[in-house]
Amino acid sequence: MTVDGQRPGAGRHRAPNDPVQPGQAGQPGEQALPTDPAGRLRTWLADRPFQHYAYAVGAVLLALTGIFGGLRTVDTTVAPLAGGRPVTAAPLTITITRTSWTTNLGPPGKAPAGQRFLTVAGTVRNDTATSVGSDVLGRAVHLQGVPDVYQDSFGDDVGASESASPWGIFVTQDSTRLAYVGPGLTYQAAWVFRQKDTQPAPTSVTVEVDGHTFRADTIDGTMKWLDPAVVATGTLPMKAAGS
Amino acid sequence: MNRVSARTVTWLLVLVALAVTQVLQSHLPDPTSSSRPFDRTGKVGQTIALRSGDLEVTTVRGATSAVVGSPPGFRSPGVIVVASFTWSARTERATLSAGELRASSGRTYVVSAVGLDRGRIDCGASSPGLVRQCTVLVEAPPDALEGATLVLSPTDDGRFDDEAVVDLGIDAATAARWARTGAITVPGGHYVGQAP
Repeated sequence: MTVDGQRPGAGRHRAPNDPVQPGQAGQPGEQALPTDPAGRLRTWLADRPFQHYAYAVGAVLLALTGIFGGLRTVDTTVAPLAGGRPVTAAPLTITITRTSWTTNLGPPGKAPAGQRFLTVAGTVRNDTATSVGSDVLGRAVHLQGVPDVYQDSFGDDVGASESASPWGIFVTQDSTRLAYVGPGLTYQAAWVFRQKDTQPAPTSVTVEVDGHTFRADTIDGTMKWLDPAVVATGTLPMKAAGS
Repeated sequence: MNRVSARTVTWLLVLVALAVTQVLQSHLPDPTSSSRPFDRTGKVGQTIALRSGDLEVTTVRGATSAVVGSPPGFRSPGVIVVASFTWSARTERATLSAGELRASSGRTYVVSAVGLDRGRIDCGASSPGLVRQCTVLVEAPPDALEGATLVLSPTDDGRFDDEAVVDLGIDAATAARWARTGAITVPGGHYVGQAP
């Protein structure tokens, strides 16, 4: 150890006005800089900050994706949503006709105390050759920017409406739950969400319709409708049901 | 330098191996084919033997609305096909828990034991030696019914087991008549006797 406590040879960098020739040691105990190209490369790499290594790893991984087909392109086009206008949201065609709120849906049930139902009604048609289940149906329609919406059909977690699953999806003409939409069938349907009634009832809501991509699941390889992405959005007036 | 070269070669070999694996995977048969179900075919009125039991579709009806159990029931934008069948487990308690209607065009209409208020299989687990009366409801447009088959499976995903593929014997005239038929009542599942 030196007098000032600095370890001999610890200072890798030299002052600009104190150059050292390659292969020549500077102060006593200081390591000589390598003269061969590989040694210089190693020294240069060792001097790089950690962030540069992270960037390099990211660049290599990005380049490697090319061997396996590259990154998938995503269509980010979002169409305007207007009441009564069909929206192609693969694998479905969805037409939103009205939004409303209520505390009593009739046969499906009354809202629990302290809650109200927010309903998005319209039609849904399956454009593919196989049935579409409630998982895709539930992700296909959601509200945007509505506070204090219950996140799923059974729990008490409250949060942003963007991440909320509907309390239920019902066929409006007979109030039954819609679990599957078969190919070529069109249903009058309502997506029903729950909101805390401590919030004032919305006078308008922004509705987002999501489309999906049919691809192999990365976990089990089965083909599924995945990767919901907003394909249409629009703000519709919301009134009390029956008004 | 030799060490650096050896590492480089190692990395290149790893990358080549990954690329070869990717190419092989894209050319090998679909891995789901090894788990595909064994189709046991039959028609209405014919007993179909599956690994876990025997089933026989006894009647097939259709209408635009159905009452299951108690009113008010539900209406379909298409036709509700109701198939009644008997089911008897072979050596241990078993049921048929999933299925689909396959149109001759290739379109499929999924039916599940957890289909909530609408399309579903109502067939509780049957004990060996007893025959259970079951029903399946599935919605489809009238133009999908001619030549359609009903597939019933003891497993939810239909893999690694037998499945029954039943020709429902529906012609165009029958499908058109069902599209004009009002409500039909659907009985719940129950035991009807001992297996022969």
